[in-house]
Amino acid sequence: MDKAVAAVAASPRPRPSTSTCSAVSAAAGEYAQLLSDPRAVFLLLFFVVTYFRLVFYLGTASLQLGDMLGLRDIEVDGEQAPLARDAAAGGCEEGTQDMLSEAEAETAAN
Amino acid sequence: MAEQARLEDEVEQWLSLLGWIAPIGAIMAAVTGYAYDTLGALWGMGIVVGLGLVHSVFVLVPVVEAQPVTFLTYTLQQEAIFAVILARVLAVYGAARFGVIAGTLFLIGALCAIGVTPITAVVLRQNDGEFFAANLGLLVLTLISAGYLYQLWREEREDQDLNKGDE
Repeated sequence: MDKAVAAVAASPRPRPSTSTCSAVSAAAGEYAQLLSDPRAVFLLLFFVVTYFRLVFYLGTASLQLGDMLGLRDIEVDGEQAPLARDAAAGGCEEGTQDMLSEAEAETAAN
Repeated sequence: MAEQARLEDEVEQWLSLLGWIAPIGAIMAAVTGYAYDTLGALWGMGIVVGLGLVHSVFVLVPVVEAQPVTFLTYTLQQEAIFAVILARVLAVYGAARFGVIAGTLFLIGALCAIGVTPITAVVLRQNDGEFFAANLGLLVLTLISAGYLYQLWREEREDQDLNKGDE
């Protein structure tokens, strides 16, 4: 065990402070000591990267799976999200063509 | 209408399958905990890194049939990471600082996770909802973070050398 880790591990259990100022000061000291320890920093970086990736997947899995399944009706802020390339290209193009055809048919009928 | 009904059936089937996979992750907490205690931190963390790499690769495969593997590795790693990280904090720092260190880790992790929302918004608005580039970036980050295994190996060697010196 290196010296920095040993110092943290061997230091006495922190006691509750009587004032807010001393409590904040004690906590800041604890965190500063922690972040000066390379073992803790490497552990922190590893955890942050892994945790971020997991949260990112959790937050976007429905969008990604929806894209793969070909769903088109997902909305963001009340607007249809440009989820898949074919939604923007094929889907919208077909819809526009249908509308144009209908408009032409109506014009011709009139 | 028939196409929509077929799509709804398909979505329901996939959601049902993913719903069955989700609780399986719980077993990984016990598995990695046991591996950590019996084989060492390197093995426990190695399982977490391995799951992360498989997940990061499979999430890049744009085929829905491959996604049960992505979801399985996600749920397995989610359980494994907390078991191993908490075990590591306790093993290195002891009980006296467990609360401060575990709390700091989770607080900083949660603060960084706030970035998920703006990144998702950018992907939806600027990148046509295409997550490949974001997932590729995360794969690169995962590969870099796998270097933590080397750091752990060094830490274990340092501890062994110090223990030999004490004897």
